[in-house]
Amino acid sequence: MKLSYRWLGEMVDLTEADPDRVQHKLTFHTAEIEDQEPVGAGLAALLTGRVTAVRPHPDADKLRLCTVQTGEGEAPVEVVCGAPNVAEGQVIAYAPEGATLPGGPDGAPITLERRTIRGVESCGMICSEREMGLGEGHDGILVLPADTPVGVPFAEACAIDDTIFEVDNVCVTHRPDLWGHLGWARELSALLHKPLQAPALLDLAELPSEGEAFPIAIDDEAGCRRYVGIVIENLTNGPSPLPLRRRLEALGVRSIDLLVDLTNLVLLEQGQPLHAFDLRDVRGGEIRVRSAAEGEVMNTLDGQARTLTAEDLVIADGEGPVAIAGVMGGENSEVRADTTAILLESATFDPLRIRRTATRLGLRTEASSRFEKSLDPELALQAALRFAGLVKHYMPEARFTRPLSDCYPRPYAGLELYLPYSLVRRRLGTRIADHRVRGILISLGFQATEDGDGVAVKVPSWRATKDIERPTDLVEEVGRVAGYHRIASVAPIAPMTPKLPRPVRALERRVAAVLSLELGHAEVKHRSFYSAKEAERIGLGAVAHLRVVNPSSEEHSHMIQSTAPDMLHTIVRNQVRVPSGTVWEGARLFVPRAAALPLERAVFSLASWAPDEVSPGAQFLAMLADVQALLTRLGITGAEVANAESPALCEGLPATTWLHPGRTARITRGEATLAVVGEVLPAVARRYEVAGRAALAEIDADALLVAHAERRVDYEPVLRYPVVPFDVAVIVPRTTPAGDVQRTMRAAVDGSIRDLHVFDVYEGEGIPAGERSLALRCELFDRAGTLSTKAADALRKRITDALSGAGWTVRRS
Amino acid sequence: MLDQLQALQATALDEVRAAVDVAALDVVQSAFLGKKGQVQQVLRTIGKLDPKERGPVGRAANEAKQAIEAALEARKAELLAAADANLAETEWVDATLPPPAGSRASGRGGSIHPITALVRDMEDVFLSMGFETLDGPWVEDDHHNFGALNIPPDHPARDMQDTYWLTDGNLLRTHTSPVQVRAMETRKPPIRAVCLGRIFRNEELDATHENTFHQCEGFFVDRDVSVGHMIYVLESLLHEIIGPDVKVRLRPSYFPFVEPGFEMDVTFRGDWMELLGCGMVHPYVLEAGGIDPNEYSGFAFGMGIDRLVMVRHGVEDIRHLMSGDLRFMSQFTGGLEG
Repeated sequence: MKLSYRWLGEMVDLTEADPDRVQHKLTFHTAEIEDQEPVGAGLAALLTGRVTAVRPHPDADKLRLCTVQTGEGEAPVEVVCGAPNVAEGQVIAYAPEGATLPGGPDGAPITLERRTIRGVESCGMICSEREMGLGEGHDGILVLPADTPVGVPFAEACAIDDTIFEVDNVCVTHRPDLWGHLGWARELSALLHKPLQAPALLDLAELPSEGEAFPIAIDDEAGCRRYVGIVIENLTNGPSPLPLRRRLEALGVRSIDLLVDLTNLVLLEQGQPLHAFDLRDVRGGEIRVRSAAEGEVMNTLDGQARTLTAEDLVIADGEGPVAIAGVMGGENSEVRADTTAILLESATFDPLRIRRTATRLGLRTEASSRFEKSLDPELALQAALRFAGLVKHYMPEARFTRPLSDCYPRPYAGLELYLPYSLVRRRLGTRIADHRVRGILISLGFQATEDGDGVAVKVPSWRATKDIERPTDLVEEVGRVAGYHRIASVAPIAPMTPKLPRPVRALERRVAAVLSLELGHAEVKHRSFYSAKEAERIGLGAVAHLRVVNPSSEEHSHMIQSTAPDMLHTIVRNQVRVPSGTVWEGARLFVPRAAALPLERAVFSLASWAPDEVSPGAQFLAMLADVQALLTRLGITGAEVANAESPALCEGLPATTWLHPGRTARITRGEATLAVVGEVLPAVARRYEVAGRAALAEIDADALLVAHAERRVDYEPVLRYPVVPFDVAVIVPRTTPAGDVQRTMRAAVDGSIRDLHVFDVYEGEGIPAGERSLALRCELFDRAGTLSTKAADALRKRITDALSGAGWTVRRS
Repeated sequence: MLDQLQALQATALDEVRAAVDVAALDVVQSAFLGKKGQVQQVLRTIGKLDPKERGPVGRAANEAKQAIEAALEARKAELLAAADANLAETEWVDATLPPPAGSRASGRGGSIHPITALVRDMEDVFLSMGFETLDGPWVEDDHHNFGALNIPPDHPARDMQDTYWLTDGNLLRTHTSPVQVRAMETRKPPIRAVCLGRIFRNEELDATHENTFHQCEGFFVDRDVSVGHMIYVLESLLHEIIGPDVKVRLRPSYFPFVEPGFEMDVTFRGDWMELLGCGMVHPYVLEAGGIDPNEYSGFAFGMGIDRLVMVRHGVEDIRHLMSGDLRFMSQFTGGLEG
């Protein structure tokens, strides 16, 4: 919303408050003024002048030579002018040479130079509206009223120089009174301690008291709180005078004609939308405010046919709708250039109904955006009388032919609140003198009388709609006018309760420290969406996703159920410059379910890539080692690794079909799956254009949290006797995991074996096809004493027997 | 024999003096005093001597040995001192070279996302002031995201929040304020809590617009909590994360869930910067959370973390934060305590 400094200055004395001060005052005490922009500043060099003679140009039919007088004692100047409407005696806007005009022929500013036009020297220019950047008028020069003083700065004579403020609308969502200049002037009056000079209204006594008021009925009282109508006849519509047009245009409203312009002027001044119906078009001589019939169609004045629902509120005459209430008038009844009689509507509509209709029709108008803020019903009459007064001013022959129509079934009853002084102190944390509390409220238009240790407050109607409802709302009024800078910082006194990070946060920190700082991964973040195409591409096309109903882009339509697509994109994006790397992120996966809210599964996701495979499955094994290192660093014991094909991380999440069937592992602990780690399936890698091999891992944060909570170190007494090293090689089928062999060995000599690990894997000559040789090393011991040769031999035999018993060939031991 | 010993000692002492480094000295030592050294050889022949001569020769040999040892020791000390004195030149290593291959730090990447780092910093400040750190669902229902926060259906304030609606009728939370509501549902005052987490706004992406943000929500509900207390807590936070010289100021603003509502500006590199929205928890919100507004009051605030990260590091394009681009991420190599 825009505000005119000049206009505010007409309602409150701003001689001691320049635009900067006004902006500062309002921003720090009322609501943010985001910006200010001077207008008419580029016209400072222009003067008013009188055309004292017009002669034909000797060498061009369409040009004329004009003599322009710019004040007493000034030498007249000769100007060549091409405008058809120039005539002797006119007062015009004269731009002397050297002046810069905002609107040159190509729309860019131009600076005037003395030049010769078809052999005649022209000294300066007589300006059109467009050349001065004041409007679209370029049919001819701008002709000023005959009584305009001559030889004075044009911008001043025509009240054009101004500063336009831009308000942050969001800050005044709750302040219907600030949707017009009057409200802001009232604020400035309180802030600058200057009286408010409210614009003059038509005296109600000027309306006839006899006769029948125009019949108006509110059928839908929930939809319309008040409807005021005034019939005005004997009008002569036409273009508005320049200052009025300028005022509207500087505030972003296009000038139409005087009647429409005056409704808009009142809108901008009072904040009350008005609508003028051409009386000729109000059929049946009556107006009803009713709900639209389902499917009812009407043409709005923007030329569109609108289909309405019972939710919408319409203004209807005897035959059908003439306006969508509070949103837009109808084509069939709009004011035209030849309109001579109108019915003025000034009404208070239900904010929610207006908002729903405007939203549904995509018609957010100046009117609807005000109605939806909950307008003051008292304002309806005030604004109607303001309009009537303005009509009388601009068209003195206008006649009010019928008494006021005013449907107001439930008048404003007043709102009284009690504000204890102590509440101000307790909420703000600072003391504001009692008399100041009362004074501030009075300056804002509240009635405030001292009553015990507080004030009894009567809330003015313009603050009583969805704005001031409780005593704390009054605290805000006092605080902001007194100034928030007065509130000092005060340390709260609170119980000394220790607070540690919650376990989940503590875990996240440890995971980040291990993955990033110890293992050297880069933490990344991805958005929580992917596209339908992406779901298809990773193989989740058939999986039900939680979807966004109104995505800003197709890319962001599905809530993710796997981090794999984002990770694959990140791999590809980085591969160009970083041939090998590792990244991780903390993410959430979303699974739709019947419960109130969907399942949100927090995961830690990792990805690594490298151009070459240094050994078969190196990416996969390195990733697996990283995940295991993470578990170790978190103090989690008892995790088991096993090969798996397309394992799901947890119930509800999809199978990881994008992972390599021979190079995927599930890490479990008890019943829970902690992580799924795997190499990207070559076909998927090709689909995403991943170069080389890549590995992915997803760790279930919830399962990890449980495991982390159960972490403990079970101390084993330090072994005091020597150990006996033992190596064994065993031939097993190619896809028999070494883990199975180790489990068999451990089980055979439970409690007497430690540090068991594979130190070599061999396939090829000497080993049958389809099998491989695993070389394992361990230490045998006896906790009770030195292991005798005989006992060691017995242990070895138990191990080799167990291996043979499992069907494997012990190659050597 | 005695002459031979004297000559031997003289030669040895000459060679000791001539040795230019410790290694040369070691050669001299083994040549004269080693098991097969010349002094040892003399000592080995003593048995063959006339018994009368054995005593004087033995003594002389021992004296020679001690003299040589002393000279060696002295020379060694001399040489070491000389070597130590010149280390700056003799053992100078270029400190600007990369580490040798295979060293512990070579080839290690590893970075912490700047948002994570800032979130940790902020959490630490709040923990130190006795605030709980809470979390909440990213998918929220209308009641927690809007209704309980005094934003009923069709309220104009819904325009302030460009909401993503979901197929199950829920929405992606547009702010972290729902956590406030959830906290009040399960706690009784005094409540001191913060929630730092992800939020979503329906925006087209460009250099200054994202649809995925991070927000820090904080609130404090107790008897007689005031605006002054809010200023204290926010100042304390900003001192830690921006700097001890930071100044703050409040401006009136509007958020449906607070009354009065404010914007807080802070000084940052010499200019005022709009940083966060805050205010006293609206009585309606307290009531919706089952807390009596006549007995308790509270303050709440919400600040965007992403924008603060951007000004903190001078990031020019907000999309970097969600890009996964290592050229961006790998610059943030520290910033995480514990």
